[in-house]
Amino acid sequence: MTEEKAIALFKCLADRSRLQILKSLMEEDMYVERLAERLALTPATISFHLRKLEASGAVKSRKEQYYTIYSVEKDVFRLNLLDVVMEKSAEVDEQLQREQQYRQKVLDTFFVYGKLTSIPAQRKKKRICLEKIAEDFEISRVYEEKEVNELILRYHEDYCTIRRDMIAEGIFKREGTLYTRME
Amino acid sequence: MFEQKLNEMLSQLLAEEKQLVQQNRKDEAAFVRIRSNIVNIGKTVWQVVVRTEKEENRREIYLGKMAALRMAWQESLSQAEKYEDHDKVMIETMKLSMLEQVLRMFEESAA
Repeated sequence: MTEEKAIALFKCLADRSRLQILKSLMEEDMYVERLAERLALTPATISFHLRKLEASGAVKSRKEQYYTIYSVEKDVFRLNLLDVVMEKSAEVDEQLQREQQYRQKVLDTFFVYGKLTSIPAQRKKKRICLEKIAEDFEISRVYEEKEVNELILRYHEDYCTIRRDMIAEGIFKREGTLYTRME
Repeated sequence: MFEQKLNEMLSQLLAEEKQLVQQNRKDEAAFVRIRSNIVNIGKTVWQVVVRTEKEENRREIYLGKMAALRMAWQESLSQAEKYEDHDKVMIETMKLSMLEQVLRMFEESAA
């Protein structure tokens, strides 16, 4: 189910009268006048709700002699909500692009000619800078503290703070004087 | 007398709308709001007529103005029917029905 369809369905279901209609239709298929009588609503109001329910895919209709009979589109209600939430959104790519742009902006601000000019105070920005420095370290390889310090020194003189922050952020794992870059 | 009746109707509609909102029946509440709007239009037109016209002319002028509204809405309804815009058909029908209700009230108040 696409995001648009999910939104239309959920919006449509967020109405007591429409839920009552669906509950009635779960018992048996019905036509407008019968639903109107049952739910004490006018046929015009029932028709309005049924149009919305049909447009959202929650009900379907068929012609039987003079009547249009409505029934619940049960497959829609067998959908797993988690599947709907997990479905890849068209917005994901845009979100990633926005994140990438933000990341680049932070790097351009704090790195001048490859050196870190200052350690950002804001955690999100600091994390981006630390990840940039961590790119010089191979994942899962074990480094001596001295090696770590030297690699950080290429970027900033306060290697102790940066090293500590990298551990705090989970970028490095420390065991004694040995450091490993985490995935 | 007419205005008082309209105000009573407006209070009833307002209460109905509030109740529907509380019951999470927002579309139906919106329909009630549309009916309230028609009553409000009937009231405003009457207030203007009372303010600007001599007493002996008021009835005719008021009915004339309401007839003009009816004609515009009937035209709108015809268009909606022509293009099978079912939601609009419903709304225009509702407006016209409410307009007739206001006019009935007007005649009853005058009698």
